[in-house]
Amino acid sequence: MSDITYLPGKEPHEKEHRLIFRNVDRKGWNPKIKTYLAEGGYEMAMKALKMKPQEVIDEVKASGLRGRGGAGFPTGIKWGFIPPNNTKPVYLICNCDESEPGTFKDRYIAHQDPHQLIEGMVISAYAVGAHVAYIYIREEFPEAAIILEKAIAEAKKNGFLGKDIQGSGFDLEIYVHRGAAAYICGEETGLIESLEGKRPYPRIKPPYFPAAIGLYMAPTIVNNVESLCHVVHILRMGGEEYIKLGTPRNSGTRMSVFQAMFLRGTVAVPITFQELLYDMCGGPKDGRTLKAVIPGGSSSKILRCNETFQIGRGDDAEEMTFWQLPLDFDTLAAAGSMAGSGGVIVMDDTRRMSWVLNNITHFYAHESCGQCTPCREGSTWMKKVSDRIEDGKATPTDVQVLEDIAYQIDGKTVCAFGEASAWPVEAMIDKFRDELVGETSDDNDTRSAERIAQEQFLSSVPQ
Amino acid sequence: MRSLFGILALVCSSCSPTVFVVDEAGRPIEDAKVIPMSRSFNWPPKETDENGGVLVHQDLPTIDYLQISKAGYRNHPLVNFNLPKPITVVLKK
Repeated sequence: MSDITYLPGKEPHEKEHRLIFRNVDRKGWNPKIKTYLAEGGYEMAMKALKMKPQEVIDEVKASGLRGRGGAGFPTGIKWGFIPPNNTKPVYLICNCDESEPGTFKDRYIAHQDPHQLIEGMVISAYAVGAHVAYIYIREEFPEAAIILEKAIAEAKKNGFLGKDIQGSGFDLEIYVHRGAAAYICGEETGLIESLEGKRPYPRIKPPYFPAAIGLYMAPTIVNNVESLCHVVHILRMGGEEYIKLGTPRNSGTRMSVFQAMFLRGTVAVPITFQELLYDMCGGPKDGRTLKAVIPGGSSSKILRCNETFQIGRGDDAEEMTFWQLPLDFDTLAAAGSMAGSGGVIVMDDTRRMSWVLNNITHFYAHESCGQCTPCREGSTWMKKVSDRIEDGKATPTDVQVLEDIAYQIDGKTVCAFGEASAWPVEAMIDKFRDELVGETSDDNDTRSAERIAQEQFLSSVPQ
Repeated sequence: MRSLFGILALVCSSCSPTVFVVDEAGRPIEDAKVIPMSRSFNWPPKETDENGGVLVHQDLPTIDYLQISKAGYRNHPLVNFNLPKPITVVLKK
């Protein structure tokens, strides 16, 4: 690893531990299979094909790998959900529909190290017994789709895909499927519907857990790009060694991408916000202070930089400032947010929170699939109210209205999109209510005197 | 000589307040907080002087609004900064 050099200006920070991003921006590196094979590429796939599938699953379970797409579900356990007496074909899907605002980690892998992903898919498909796998890629990654298609053709030509891979008797075909630019296709059941050629309305769970009833009603494993790449390193290092890169419940490394202060990196968890934002990213511009951070893509709840949190329960509870928080799944959940997709959005003291809120509500109103009424109507309504706040045409009551709408969406939809659109609004109002109310005025009340009197009368009538 | 007067007038006009904050009776409000805003950014807040005036220059990114507040007064709706200067804003109790 020490002999690896990177392109000028692209060198990793000394605190970065590059695992998945090892070859990203590397001098002399290209996405061709010849380059990948020269450095031991596909050796782990060959190793896996000599093991029993259950041994591969056990190794991944032992590593404690948690999905890197957003939910953080343990990958090995997900693989184990395939019914033991299954007689249907099993499918593996790589979720490359990286649409979360603020997140762009998977794109780097697809662009610069596609064979790492394909090797991860070969190992994972072998473990779960899939002979057909799909890479579902968002429409906005046209170059990545071409690169992946070329890489698949190269792998097939070299005998790492197709019939009887390297004489192991295992067959695998991988197809690249391009999406049509919809955020909801990142939701695994929406993705499956889209792959089946239908409108991507997420399916209700239960009964449609993909591992049991997925693509074409057959068991299907849907994993994120980064999660599949980690499988290669787990086999190389062994599950127990892999855990040591992080903590037992937050093992391995985690890629985070940062907006505002730009750094692409693979950071070994747990790294604190202080280390991340000041030591690695260099802190804010001169004369400015950091105001707030959205730690895991726009769906995660915003955290104020001057907050303190009670982490843990009972005697183990510990008070931590924002700067002391490690960026791991459990601590961020205890702090009321989530590690999500790893896209860290940083805002300094000049940022208008009403604009941030408006930006987020516009996105979710546009991307709601429209299947569930609370989400379809609520997200558009939130957008309209936040438009008023941002334009300075809102009354103080509008902030309360916005909060009420968000709580009416939360937990009342088929998929997690409802929460994804409601949580940022709830958190923004919770953390920055004064700032938002400060941009409103009673003078903006455009209701007629009769209307106000009527509303006052109606609210005074006992229900 | 004429051009000198022109420059002098320009310098004087660029130093005079562009925003005045007054109460409903027209009395100037001192120490009212004025925040220049673009669509996405806030500039550091400024405070009005004893005449209720404050100097706000157009900047980049373009200032679109002013948020004006003072304890004891109702929030004023965001003020359009593109109005002819000086802008007079009335805060209500």
